[in-house]
Amino acid sequence: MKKAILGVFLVLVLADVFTVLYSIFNAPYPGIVPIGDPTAYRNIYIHVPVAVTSYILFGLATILAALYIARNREKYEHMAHSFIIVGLVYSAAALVTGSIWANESWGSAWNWDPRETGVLMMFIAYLVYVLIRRSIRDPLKSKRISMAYAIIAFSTVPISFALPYVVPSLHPVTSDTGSFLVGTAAMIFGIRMLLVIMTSIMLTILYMKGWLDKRILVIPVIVAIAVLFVTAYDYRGDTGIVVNATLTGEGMLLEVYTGGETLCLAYNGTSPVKPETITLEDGTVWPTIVKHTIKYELGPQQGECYTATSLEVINHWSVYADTFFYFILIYAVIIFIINRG
Amino acid sequence: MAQRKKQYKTLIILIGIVLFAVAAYALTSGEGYDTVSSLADADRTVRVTIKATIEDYTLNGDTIIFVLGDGHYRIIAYYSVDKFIGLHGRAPGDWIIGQDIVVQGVYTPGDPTGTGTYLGVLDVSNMLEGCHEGYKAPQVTS
Repeated sequence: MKKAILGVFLVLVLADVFTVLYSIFNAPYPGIVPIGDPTAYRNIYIHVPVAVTSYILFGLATILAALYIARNREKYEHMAHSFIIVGLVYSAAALVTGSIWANESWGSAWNWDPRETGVLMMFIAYLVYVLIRRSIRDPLKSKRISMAYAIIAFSTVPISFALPYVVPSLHPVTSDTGSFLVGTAAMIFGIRMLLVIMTSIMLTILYMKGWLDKRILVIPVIVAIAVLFVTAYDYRGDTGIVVNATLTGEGMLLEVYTGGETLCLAYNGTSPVKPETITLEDGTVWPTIVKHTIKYELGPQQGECYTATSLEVINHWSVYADTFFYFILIYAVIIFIINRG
Repeated sequence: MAQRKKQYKTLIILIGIVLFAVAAYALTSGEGYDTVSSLADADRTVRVTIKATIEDYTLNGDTIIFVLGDGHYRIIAYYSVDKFIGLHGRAPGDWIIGQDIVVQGVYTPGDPTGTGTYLGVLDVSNMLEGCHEGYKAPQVTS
């Protein structure tokens, strides 16, 4: 039984790692965004499933806490506690990945946005649960009081979820993201959502039973470290943000902002962003490479422009940072918790 | 024993009340954005987050000078051109006029032009924007 469950968990972890990597390198993202690099929106495949999962874990914990209060069975308390501990790790990951993404796509990492504040409150509310549980010496009393508190703490979950619906917020709501999440994006997002939820529930069950094999958890931690090397590789050499682009029949003429100066770059090749253009509502043809961060190699100067001998679009660093923190916070922190018992 | 039980219950109820109070505060103050008009009462330098419309702009070296308004009052706001390009992916141009923006920064009352046209000056540290519009765009891949 234990081997079978660990086998299923290993498959889930590998699928999680594979789909994260697939998402950050291949998944679609919006072609035009108000602020920042469009590729930063690939964070949707990491941040949103983690945030939704933390709500689900706290919801399950509340049901189990209520069952414990009503039926007074130890197993419900044990299960509720495990869901809260794992939920705390997921909500911490939601806060960190959200802030990193917001820094690029909202213009500031933390600005007391209603949803940000709501999730922070939720996180603190459940941290207080841990403090209450640890501060009461009598085990029976500790369990009953902390379970009663856990039910109260759940009030922060619907509040944090509802805030962007009732007050103006930088945070989008389902109706906003719904228009993007169609076709391939919807499929990848759905798979990611399912995998993160399933992995979190399996993590909780294994944590509860004391069956977690740390060797499995090391795999995503190694991948997280590898992602750091990919980031270093991507940002090594000449990089810049495309601030203007003209598609010619033979290639592209780009204005590239390199942090202090704007460079004119001629590239004889097709745009690495597909489709190459989007027609806006007013009829304007928008070259989709605009706002992307590119990496290029400079060739000889021709007139006012340099030629680029190679050109590729690189992910915004926030995508790599969120991937790193997702793997580290979910898996490495769980290893740490297991080691501490 | 009964006394301690009562204390624990009181503690939980208190924490619950505090959580609800913070939640209610977050709910009611969630908008968090002032307007240009709300700065009319400011009599000292304050840190603000305001939502305003860009009515005009000029470039002065590596600084953009915005005229921000809300239909009633106007202020002058300074922001770095480098930061602007880094955020928006393109240089400021006429396309920004008429756009609503949310900016954070330090506001100092007093019209630097001495004409009484502006309420004061905002030194912008951050330009904020929600990502709602982004999701309406067609999908791309790279």
